[in-house]
Amino acid sequence: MKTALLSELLKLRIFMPLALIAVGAGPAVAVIICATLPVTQNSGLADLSAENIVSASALGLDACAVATIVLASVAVGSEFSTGQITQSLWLTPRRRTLFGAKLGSVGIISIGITIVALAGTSVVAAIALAIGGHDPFAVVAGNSIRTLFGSALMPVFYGLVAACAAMVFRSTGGAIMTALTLVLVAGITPWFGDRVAEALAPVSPSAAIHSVAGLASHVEELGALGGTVTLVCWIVAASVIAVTLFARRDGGS
Amino acid sequence: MRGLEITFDSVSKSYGTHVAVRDVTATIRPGAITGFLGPNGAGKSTTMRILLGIDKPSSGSALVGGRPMSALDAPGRTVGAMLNASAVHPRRTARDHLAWVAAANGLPRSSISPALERVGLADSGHVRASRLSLGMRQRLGLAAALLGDPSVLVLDEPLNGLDPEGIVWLRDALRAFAADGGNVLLSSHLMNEMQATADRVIVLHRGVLVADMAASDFSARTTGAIRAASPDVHRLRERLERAGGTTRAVRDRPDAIDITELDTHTVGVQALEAGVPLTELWTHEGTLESAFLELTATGESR
Repeated sequence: MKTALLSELLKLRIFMPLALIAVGAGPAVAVIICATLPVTQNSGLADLSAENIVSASALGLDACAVATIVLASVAVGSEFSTGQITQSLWLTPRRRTLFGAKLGSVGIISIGITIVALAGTSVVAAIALAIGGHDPFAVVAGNSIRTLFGSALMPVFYGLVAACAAMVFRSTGGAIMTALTLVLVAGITPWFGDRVAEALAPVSPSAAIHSVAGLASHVEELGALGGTVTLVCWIVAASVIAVTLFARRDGGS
Repeated sequence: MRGLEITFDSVSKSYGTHVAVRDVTATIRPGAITGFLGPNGAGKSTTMRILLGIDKPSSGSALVGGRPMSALDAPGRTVGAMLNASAVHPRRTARDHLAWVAAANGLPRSSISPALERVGLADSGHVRASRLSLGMRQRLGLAAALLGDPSVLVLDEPLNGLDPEGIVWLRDALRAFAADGGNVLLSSHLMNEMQATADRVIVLHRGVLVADMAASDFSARTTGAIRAASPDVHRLRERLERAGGTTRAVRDRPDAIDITELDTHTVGVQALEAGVPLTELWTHEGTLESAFLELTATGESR
């Protein structure tokens, strides 16, 4: 497993530009959102609460998550599109081991991206707080730190889901579509009313992340533990489906 | 080096109603180069993929040293494989490609430079795969196959795209590998090269194993046939068949026939007596190509 994981991590080297984009997307989007808050919220930074500024900055991690989805999808999907999966299977014919190494490598790179993006987004939030006349250290106080760390689960969670989807569909496009659909479903669920949102909350990754981040609305509140359990269940279910299909099917290409 | 035996035991593979490989049983022993022959779609690549654990057989088993690939402790250090030289990420350099292969084999990075040097790519390590020619990608694939210093080599069309110098190099390398006790299974549609390289041949036709024998025995199947050509080939044919010969038309040569059961002297005398002019008269030297074409044209069973 160790050698397979190391080789999968080495494969990710060529995707470093995508990783840098994912890292940069967090703070870059946070800057844009903070800079446009006076327009979008009709209030200056000084008029907004510290928690509002930090939660607005945390939206930068949504952008990081989208970029991580693309990275994970391309990294795993290109194995199939280039036919390299045949070499991977020759060198690691135990499919569960190969799957574990692929998922592990995507998890490690996603965590690395998230840590740096989180740091950058936090710095942006602290600067915005300072500009608004708030205590910049409010970014690590109270609910703000929970908001940032909860939001930081997104790139890792959606990166892992995208990697599983790439194994299922054997394509980059299928993986991106699957992960983005999950993100978008959360966005449109409120359109169908509170009853639908409430019914879907226990299985909604978005509700789970919002609950962990302390940003959940009353209809999607699962609590930090409930949200964590939902996310873990999603990853376990996606992994079981992906590894089962991978183990049963021919190598492809 | 002591190579391991490759065994196919009643291997079959179906895709829906299409049977790609049907009940293939063969043993490939170390110390020799075994050529895997067959027309396009005969099932050679599928059989090799099953051996490597890439595809799953519908029934039967393919083993290396008595074990499936997935049961080997270090698959890449036991079996070196090259199925498709172009199956490399186009953005990855030759050196980066070998880096992950080395890591998967548990080998240090220091093993990469000698491997590149061995296949003549020492100066191309920094070149992306998308910029490598087919021949260079072929060499890169061979470098990956040889990286783990395996005792078994499974190579699908390794000669494709290689220049003459590369073909000679590979032939010599494979011979040395087999002479050292290694086991080589390679497929190629280049019959002349296969004849110059393989010690044994296994022939698949429409998924069925139709020959498994020494390459020299296989070539000898067509030795002795006589080729004769004449502007009046129909009269020549009648005359020779009356004289006890068996004749067969030659594809794309309406003026020529192949004759068995008679020798060249008799054919010449018969033509002279019939007043039929001959423009060609010679004895076939058995070749892998002619034996292969004859076998796959008739679908003869072993």
